[in-house]
Amino acid sequence: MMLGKLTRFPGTRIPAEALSGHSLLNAYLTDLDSRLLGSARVRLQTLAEVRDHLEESARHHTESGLPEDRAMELAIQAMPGKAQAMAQRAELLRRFVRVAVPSGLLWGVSMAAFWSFMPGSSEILALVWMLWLSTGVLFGAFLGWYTAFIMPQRLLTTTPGRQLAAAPSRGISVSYSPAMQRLGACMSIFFALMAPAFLALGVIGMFNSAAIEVFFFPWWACLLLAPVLVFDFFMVRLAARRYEARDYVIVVRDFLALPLNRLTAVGNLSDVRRFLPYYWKRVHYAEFKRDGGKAVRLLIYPTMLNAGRLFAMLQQHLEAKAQDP
Amino acid sequence: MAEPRNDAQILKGLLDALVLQVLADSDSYGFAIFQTVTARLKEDAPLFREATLYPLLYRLEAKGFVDVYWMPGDRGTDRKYYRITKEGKRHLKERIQDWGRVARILHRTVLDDKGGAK
Repeated sequence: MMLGKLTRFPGTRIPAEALSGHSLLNAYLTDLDSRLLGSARVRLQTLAEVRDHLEESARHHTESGLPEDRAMELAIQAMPGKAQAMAQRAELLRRFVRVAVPSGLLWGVSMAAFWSFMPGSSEILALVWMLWLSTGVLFGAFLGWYTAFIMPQRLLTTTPGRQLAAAPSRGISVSYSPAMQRLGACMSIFFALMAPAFLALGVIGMFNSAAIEVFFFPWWACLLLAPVLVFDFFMVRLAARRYEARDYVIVVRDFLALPLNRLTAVGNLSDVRRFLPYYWKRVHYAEFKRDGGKAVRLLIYPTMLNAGRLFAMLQQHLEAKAQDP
Repeated sequence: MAEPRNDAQILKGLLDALVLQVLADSDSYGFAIFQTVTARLKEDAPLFREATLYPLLYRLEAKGFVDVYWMPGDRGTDRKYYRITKEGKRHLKERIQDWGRVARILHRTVLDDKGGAK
């Protein structure tokens, strides 16, 4: 019971986006949802996929002449909810173990080993070992729980159920920008080196306690990178989540799809705004006329994915439209 | 009709390779993958059930052989697409070579020209 509450936090009801217009399907999805683990967003990933499969399968049966309800019944029979729930549980458990075990062991053992080099009685050392090992286990369990049960698998994918638009949008690809990928790799190396560095520090501290302070300095300096990481993470979330598609410009952040035939202007932000700080002078914009005559200005940041390509595409499109209205 | 003899592990490996082969042709989503695989299996289609599709896809994803992304499907609702990764392609190539070797050995030693026992 307790485990169920922990793994279904923060939402226990079926996410509204998962439901469809078909009562049979809704009953199936509600039952399936009650068996799934994870937060509402994590469960939505499975529910949306299963719903899509069943709707497609039912459509297939309907096309071969079956009535709608019978078609849905057959589709549901072929996809037992229990099997889908077990697959989801196994997948979440795999993700939990993959994160919890290495991070718990790494932190617990390395921190306990580090403190064991400090002078003190064996009873205190045993206590320190126990303390750090249990802290490591708890830390690992927390990380694993958060990664598997709370956070959806991919931060940079769109949330299913919130429709982008019925756009012919093949070719949308979602990933961090190359700069962010490089930074991420550097930070991974940095964190991977932290545990052995603490061990080395402990050994050095046995012979020369003053050296610890010298060695600590670069690590604290490195830790100052954390705000940069956080800033970059949000920059990617806020700015770089904009992609180009074949006939539409998709703005994932706002869940908008702006049709290219409504494009009215492109340019540099400094053309339309005065007194911009340096960074903003490198930002481009594209303006779209929406229904009712209201204009939407899409900002193209230099940091966003394929920014140059997107701007060139918009410019070309506008030029082509000017030549052949 | 004789019951098909299928060792679970061999079948699992074969189905993994089949799904990867479908994804190597183009990115696809759950139901379309199922349909393509069953069409390729022809009379052996009952070996592949819808209920086993998603555990299989999750397994391939966990191993890093496929990648996923969401985008609107033809009905307007969001759909999860699977895409084969470089590692998946490498794995598929290795599996095809393995199966090819097994098939050659079987044909040389156990099977006759019609696929029956020698």
